[in-house]
Amino acid sequence: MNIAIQTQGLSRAFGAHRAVEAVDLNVPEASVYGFLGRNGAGKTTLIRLILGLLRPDRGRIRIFGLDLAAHRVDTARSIGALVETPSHYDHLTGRQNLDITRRLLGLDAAETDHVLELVDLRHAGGRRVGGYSLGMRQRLGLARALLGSPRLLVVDEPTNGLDPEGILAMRALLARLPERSGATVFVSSHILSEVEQFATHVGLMHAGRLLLEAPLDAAKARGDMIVSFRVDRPEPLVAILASSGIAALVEEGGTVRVAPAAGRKAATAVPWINAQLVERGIAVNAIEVREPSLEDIFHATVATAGCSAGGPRLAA
Amino acid sequence: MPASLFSEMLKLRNSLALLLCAAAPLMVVVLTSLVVMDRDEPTPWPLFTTNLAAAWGLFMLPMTVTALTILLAQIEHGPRFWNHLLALPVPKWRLFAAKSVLTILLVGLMSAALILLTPVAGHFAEWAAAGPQLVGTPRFKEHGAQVAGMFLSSLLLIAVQLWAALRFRSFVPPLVLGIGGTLVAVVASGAEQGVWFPWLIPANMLSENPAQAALAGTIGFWGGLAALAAMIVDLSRREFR
Repeated sequence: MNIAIQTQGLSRAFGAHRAVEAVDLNVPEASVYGFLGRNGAGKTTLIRLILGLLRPDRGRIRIFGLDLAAHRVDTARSIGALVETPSHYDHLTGRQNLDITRRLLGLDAAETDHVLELVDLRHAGGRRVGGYSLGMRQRLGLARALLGSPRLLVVDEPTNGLDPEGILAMRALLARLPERSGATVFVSSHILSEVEQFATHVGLMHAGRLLLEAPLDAAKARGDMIVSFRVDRPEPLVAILASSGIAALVEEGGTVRVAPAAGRKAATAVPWINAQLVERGIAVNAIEVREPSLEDIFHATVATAGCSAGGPRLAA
Repeated sequence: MPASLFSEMLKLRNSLALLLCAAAPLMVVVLTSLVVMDRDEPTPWPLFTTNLAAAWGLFMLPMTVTALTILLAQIEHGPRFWNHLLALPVPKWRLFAAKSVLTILLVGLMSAALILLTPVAGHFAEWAAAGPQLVGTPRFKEHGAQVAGMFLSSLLLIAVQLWAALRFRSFVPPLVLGIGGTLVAVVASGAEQGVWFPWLIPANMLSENPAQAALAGTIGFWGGLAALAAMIVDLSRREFR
């Protein structure tokens, strides 16, 4: 397996704050890699390190096998990036904005039309960017990142501020890239459910550390089934589950949630549990049995790693 | 380098920086012409051109360089464009060098515009006001050499102001520096140490003492080139967040 981005022991601090701590990242070539974590987890700092915008305190970064510290310009040739909110020259048109980067990259004039077409902005290329909507600005930022068909596309929170339609379009565009051009897509996001829909691999960052890195399926297989019941009398249900060696807790609203470690056992026992509830005359309003989501995996991983669960919440 | 410089030029379209470059020399010639037209007695041509050069060198040039460098830097700081620019496969020094060359070119263009506008303004003043306003023989060649000398000696001023404008995301530090420097230059315009003060160096090119003018020119030009080189090295190593 070829590696597009590889970091070894990558660390960076700002004063006493360790933004990125000993991160070993391996992003496979031609993958869509979801780089996930809460706001402030260190995702953007790591992206800025990968782009050579920040220097690491310790550790190494290799892009397609090339050492970034020794070959910044050469590694940058293979990367297209959209970092944080897309920045544009508002007094220029979309086309002129792209032309500035295109000229710096030494590309043909036709390349501007090509990327405008890719992000469906050709009709607005002659308008000043100051009059663009947030979604159009985001797409123009992506168009600029796609100039020159980079082998690696690094996008930071690409759906920020987009409307539902824009989110769908952006998701489809990013998911298509690996098969269309063989590019590797590295997407950072704090919206796990969003990335879950198109990523092939995930990396979970928390408090500057990479807690988990795996193909999406393998990551999800690490988690237990999620099982919960909504009944009119929770206590007898907890007793039934306990008699089968299944730990559970009662949440607000009377929902009984099976402990994650007992999820698979509970999932197979659902018909028996349901029969027991009916036999005892307990009204069952809902039973939920589902595969763990990335959010579930994230919380379980953070809990296992013994990290603090504080800080901003992830958006599901 | 040509691609970087061309990209810098593209950014100037519809920008306030370009408007400033047109307005600054025009304001000096208009104001100086109005002064001539307001006088009861005719003004000798050499006095007219010297007044014009003094107004430019002592006040308008430092203030324009301050404003121009801030506007050029804010084109990148405003939208936080450094994140994109410095991640491109272009040596970082080249981006800052292009910005420096563009600034020098624009100040050069303003100086050229001032030289070209001087005879136009003088003749306009004569035409617009009743009676003779300008007498004697105009010495445009000498005036052109003075303004060109002020331009070349302003490299140190350009370097200091551009460094501050690019170094700080906020426009306040370079603005305070520019206003403070110009104020000191106006108040202490006759000081001998002025040849070492970037905001006063261009005005020193008008000194009647040829040695002082030559020293100011040397410090301003060569010191400016050295400062620009130091600026490019410093900014290329700096992390822009």
